[in-house]
Amino acid sequence: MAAPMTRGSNVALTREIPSLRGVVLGVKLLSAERVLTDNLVVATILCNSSGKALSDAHFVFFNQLSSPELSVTQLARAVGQDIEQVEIDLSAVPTEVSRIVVVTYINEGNAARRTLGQLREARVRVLNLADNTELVRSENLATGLHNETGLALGELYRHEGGWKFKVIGQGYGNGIRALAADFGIAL
Amino acid sequence: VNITTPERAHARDDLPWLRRRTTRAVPPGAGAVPPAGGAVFSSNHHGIYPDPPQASANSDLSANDSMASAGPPQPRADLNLSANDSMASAGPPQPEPAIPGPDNMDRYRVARTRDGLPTILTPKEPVVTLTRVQSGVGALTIQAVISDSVGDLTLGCTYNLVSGQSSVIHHGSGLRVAPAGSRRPVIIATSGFGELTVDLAQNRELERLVVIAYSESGAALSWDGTLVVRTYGGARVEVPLRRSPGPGVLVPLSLYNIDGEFVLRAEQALISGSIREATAAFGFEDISWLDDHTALS
Repeated sequence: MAAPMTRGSNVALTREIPSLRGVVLGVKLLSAERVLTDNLVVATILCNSSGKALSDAHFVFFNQLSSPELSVTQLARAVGQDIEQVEIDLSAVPTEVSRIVVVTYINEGNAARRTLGQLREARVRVLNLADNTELVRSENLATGLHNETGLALGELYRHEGGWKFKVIGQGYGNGIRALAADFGIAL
Repeated sequence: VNITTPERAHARDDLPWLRRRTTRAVPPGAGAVPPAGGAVFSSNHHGIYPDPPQASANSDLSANDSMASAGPPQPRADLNLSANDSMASAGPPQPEPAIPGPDNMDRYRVARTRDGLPTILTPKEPVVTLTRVQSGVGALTIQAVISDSVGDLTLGCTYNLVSGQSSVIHHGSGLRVAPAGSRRPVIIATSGFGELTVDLAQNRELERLVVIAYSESGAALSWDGTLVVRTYGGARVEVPLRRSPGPGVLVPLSLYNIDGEFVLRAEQALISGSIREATAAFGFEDISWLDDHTALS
């Protein structure tokens, strides 16, 4: 297996694998702190060329498992070692979607406040939707996190008629509020 | 809906396991498909459960009533099933509706919160539906904003969880979290006059919640003030608490989780009696009681 991808690195998925029709983004988040893992939410945002979500309906998460045109679907129950998996049918992605960003945040519900600095492991990997083989995986993005409560993990983006995948690994200090502001989602 | 031409049928975003069966590209902006469980209340349902999203009062089965060009149903007294109005052959052309495109999908307009303005629920417009994002991100807080002149009003709620658990919580009792004794509560009754918070990361656990307001001491209250529901993003839904002074248990609001969207409904019930009677009036039957005001667990 290839070496894990570092923050900021990218790979030309459809150029390397011309037959690629769909991918699975698998997210693994590990911590010994159960209050943290209980309240972690993974979301996928379908963005236009300005990096803004097309609409609230293009914020795919546990309470909205599919984007309106069904190109991006989060599994109700992930298969295997990931805590969440998001299936993406590349040909069904609307043309105005330029980037598909997968993020995680700590939901501020009833629990005591936690931070992503308590994560032992955070990584995103890309599988081939057709046969479940792992194509690439990121390095451990938990290193270097401290008081953050939101994290952009990685993104698929259009490039020269195909799709590339990039590891982001950028933390956000104000969780979903900061992510929502950045990606133009009305909470 | 013209079911004879599948390629014109609308995508079902409530059935993700069928997604591989969509064979056509959905044109941009075709987000007019109503969200799954786009909760719709009709007056004949006593507001308990919504109609299925596709339920239609229109009995006209003619071909030109397709979803793509559908206008508001043309009022017709008869159920016309005559041969030349069959589904296979297009019926006589009906005048194009004046209202254009996607809006026509919204025969039952779902009331939503508005940016920057509170949504005040009234007997005439008692229902508002939160979006999936509003129903699933952060926490929902429910608070009674009242002055001291009202009396010792306390806020609580009775609930049904998907797990089957059902009880009453209020800050004055030993039961302040739902489910009882939970390490990770779905609902918490906090201090003050009483404030309820719902953990929306667990919204799939919640089936319904009915807010109750009452006097801790059993005194008559000068009902006044406002029940304020706030989403994580700051949208506000307000329900007036003003009633004629008197004893009893007020049920100002119910919340139903309709397939991921929270439907908030102002209730008009001031029940002269105990919390037990108030919850019974709303069909909570799986609660064991210690006394008229306290659930067992």
